[in-house]
Amino acid sequence: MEVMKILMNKKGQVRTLEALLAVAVVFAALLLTRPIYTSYDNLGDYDVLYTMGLNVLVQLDRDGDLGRLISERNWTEIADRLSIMLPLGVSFNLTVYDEESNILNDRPVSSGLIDSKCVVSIQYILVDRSNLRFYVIRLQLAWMK
Amino acid sequence: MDMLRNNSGQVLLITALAIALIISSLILYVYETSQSIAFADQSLELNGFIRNVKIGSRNLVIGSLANISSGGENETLRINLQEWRSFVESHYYAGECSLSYELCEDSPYSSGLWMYWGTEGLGVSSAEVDFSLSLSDNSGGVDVAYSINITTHIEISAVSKWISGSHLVNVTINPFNEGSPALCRNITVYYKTFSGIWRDASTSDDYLLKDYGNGTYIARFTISDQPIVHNREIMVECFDRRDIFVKAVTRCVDL
Repeated sequence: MEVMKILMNKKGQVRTLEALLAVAVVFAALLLTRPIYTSYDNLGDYDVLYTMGLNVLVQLDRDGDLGRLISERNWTEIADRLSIMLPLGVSFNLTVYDEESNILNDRPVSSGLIDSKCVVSIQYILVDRSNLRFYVIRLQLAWMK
Repeated sequence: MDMLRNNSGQVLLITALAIALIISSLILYVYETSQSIAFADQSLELNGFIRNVKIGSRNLVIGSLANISSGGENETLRINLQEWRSFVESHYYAGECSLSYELCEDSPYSSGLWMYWGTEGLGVSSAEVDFSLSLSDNSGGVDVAYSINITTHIEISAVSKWISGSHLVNVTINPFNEGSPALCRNITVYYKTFSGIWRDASTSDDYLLKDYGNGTYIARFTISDQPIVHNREIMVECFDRRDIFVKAVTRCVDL
């Protein structure tokens, strides 16, 4: 009878240990997925990219330079200016549409491939002061991997 | 039954592992699917659009004023604003957009324009338009009112000195954009001859236009082979950096 009691007590301890181990396994799963949580929560990246892209377009448009460069079809100059104004680590792709939604840039205005899951697309409407034409600009920005 | 009870710890562990697996896969799934629907804060896009429309409106008024001041029809401003309105309204996709405008009619403006190219050394080319932008979506609406005033004006003064049969003329030119000193893309100075004809001062051999870089220009030239003219008339035509044209006429102060 005494032996049986001791055995039962030990079994109880083993059960407790097993239960603790089970809880540890579940928590380990939560801890391991934490990095994913972090990147999921990091939606601020989108806001940063959006604000940055809009500021760059506004800056280019402030003195009417962007409209002039588009009417001159000077895509190289536009790409150069974007490369200078955007920080390192941000890739871009710019598309210019006319009023009838035809794409005007006959070659890519970009810094290379945008290969990221965090891509922000900014639409900007523009007036060219010199000939009073309207354009739609779509600037895609992404953090480089 | 006994065997099951003996193995209950292992069952618990397997269940825990299954739960851990479900949690991991659930989080991974949420992460993957969230990538395609994540976008910038809606209020950020809304404010960005408002900012975009304001800058576009400003550029439109500048372009229209440049056109009108160079000889275009006054009606150009209204036509361009109407086109801009349609363009803006058709390029807002987050809800409904309405852009309205009103041309300033407060004196001295008429149909949003004030062109004064005076004879007292002052010339003004100006346009003023009041805009109202309304944006609405499921979460509510925003109304923004803003006014765009584009003004280029020049102030000129001239002095003339009669030295050994020639007029030595100094013209000081000060262009302004919205009241602040500005730079010019092109300046042409004219003087009126004894017979009342305007002549380009740059045809004088010693014509010199000095740019001080702070919005002050001084033109110096000599008028030879002409009889003395008191308080000679001087005219300055100027295109500012935005291609807005303005001119002014003044009379020389004889020294």
